[in-house]
Amino acid sequence: MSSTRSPFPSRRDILRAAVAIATGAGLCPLGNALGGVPSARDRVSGGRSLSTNCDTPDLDRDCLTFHEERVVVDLAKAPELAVAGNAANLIDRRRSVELIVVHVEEGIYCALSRFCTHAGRTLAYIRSRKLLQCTNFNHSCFELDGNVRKGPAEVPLASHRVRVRDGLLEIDLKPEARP
Amino acid sequence: MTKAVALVLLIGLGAPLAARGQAAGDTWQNPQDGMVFVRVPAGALLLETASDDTGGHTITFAQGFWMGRTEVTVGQFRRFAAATGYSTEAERAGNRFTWQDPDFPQTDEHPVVYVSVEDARRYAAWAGVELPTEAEWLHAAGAGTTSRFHWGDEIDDRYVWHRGNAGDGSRPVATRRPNPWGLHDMVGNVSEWVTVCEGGQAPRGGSWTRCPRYRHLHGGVVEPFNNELARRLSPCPPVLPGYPWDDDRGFRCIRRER
Repeated sequence: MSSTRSPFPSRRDILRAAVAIATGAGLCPLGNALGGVPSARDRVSGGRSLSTNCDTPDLDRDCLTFHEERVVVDLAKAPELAVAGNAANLIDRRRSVELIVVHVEEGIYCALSRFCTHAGRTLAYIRSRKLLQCTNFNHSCFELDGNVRKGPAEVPLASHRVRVRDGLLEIDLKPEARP
Repeated sequence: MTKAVALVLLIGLGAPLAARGQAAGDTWQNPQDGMVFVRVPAGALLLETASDDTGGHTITFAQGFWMGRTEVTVGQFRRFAAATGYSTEAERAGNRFTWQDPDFPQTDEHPVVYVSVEDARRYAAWAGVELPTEAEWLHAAGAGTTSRFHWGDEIDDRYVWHRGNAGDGSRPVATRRPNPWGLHDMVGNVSEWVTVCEGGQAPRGGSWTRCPRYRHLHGGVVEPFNNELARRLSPCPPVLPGYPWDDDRGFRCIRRER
């Protein structure tokens, strides 16, 4: 029997990143919870679809508020993100905003470009692997910090800083600079 | 008596494969790697008509052949590698992931992946078998049916491992229902290298990474498994995927009667 090394980041890694962000030393765009848990967490779908390995729902416009340099997601109006392990697209084509927002673990979110850097196809979130995977034939895989895990993509995904505050996600519209 | 018994044994062991059965679903086990081969009967493969009005013709198989009941497994490939000292092209290239560590949990019963066409050829030569042509593969996969898939026109999770029900890795072979001729995982699990033309191979059959239905960039819905199951022959040379190996690409073997 071959080895079964887990490819998934451990819970300790995720929490360590969250603490690092809280202390201003973040190395990845995961947002940590500073405020209370939004009530939407108890409404699994509200009649709207949840993400699967193939399909990612779009956030409704009514949960989004755009500011000059950030977009705010009202989690109370975003049941797609209520459950940890789900993801949703955040799209505003007029503003050229095309992101995928992932609720990684309870209170921890990340936001990245939703297009594969290989050929521009859309990504979906594979919850069991904690990876973003292209839905196209070659299915490039990306870590949640945007780094390529498996090609043929070679360029990392743009990631956006996320802050969680009082039931709101604040996502910077400008991508984070990569080291 | 001893000589008579020996003579009978000699005849039995040396009997051509054809004497072992001609009916669809008859089986033969390869002593080299333990793979069970299933009899694919003679018959005709009706190819689809392409958009340029080519195709739409029939390929006739005057005689049947034997095809691996499943994709070659990790365990079988391991025996090959141990017996020959073979390293795959991905291993020699220093690829991050290989057939021994494909970045998802696997057992010896999973289909081997991260194998190139050359890796598959080397294995087949060791096992005394070959890679199928695209036409042979399509004939075997269709199993005499005319529907989109051998079970019907819609995805049926009882028959296929795809991204919707196996999204985090391949699955052990033969854990979905077989086609009418007894072949497992012709659709899904891992795609399989077939020979399209001299020097040209392509993967067919779809895999665990393929969505049963998904939206493209501009919202268009893509048909299940794209063209991997289309009953038409690939161009020569085929348009190859981006990698010579991948985590969803394996192979199965064929034994032809000479």
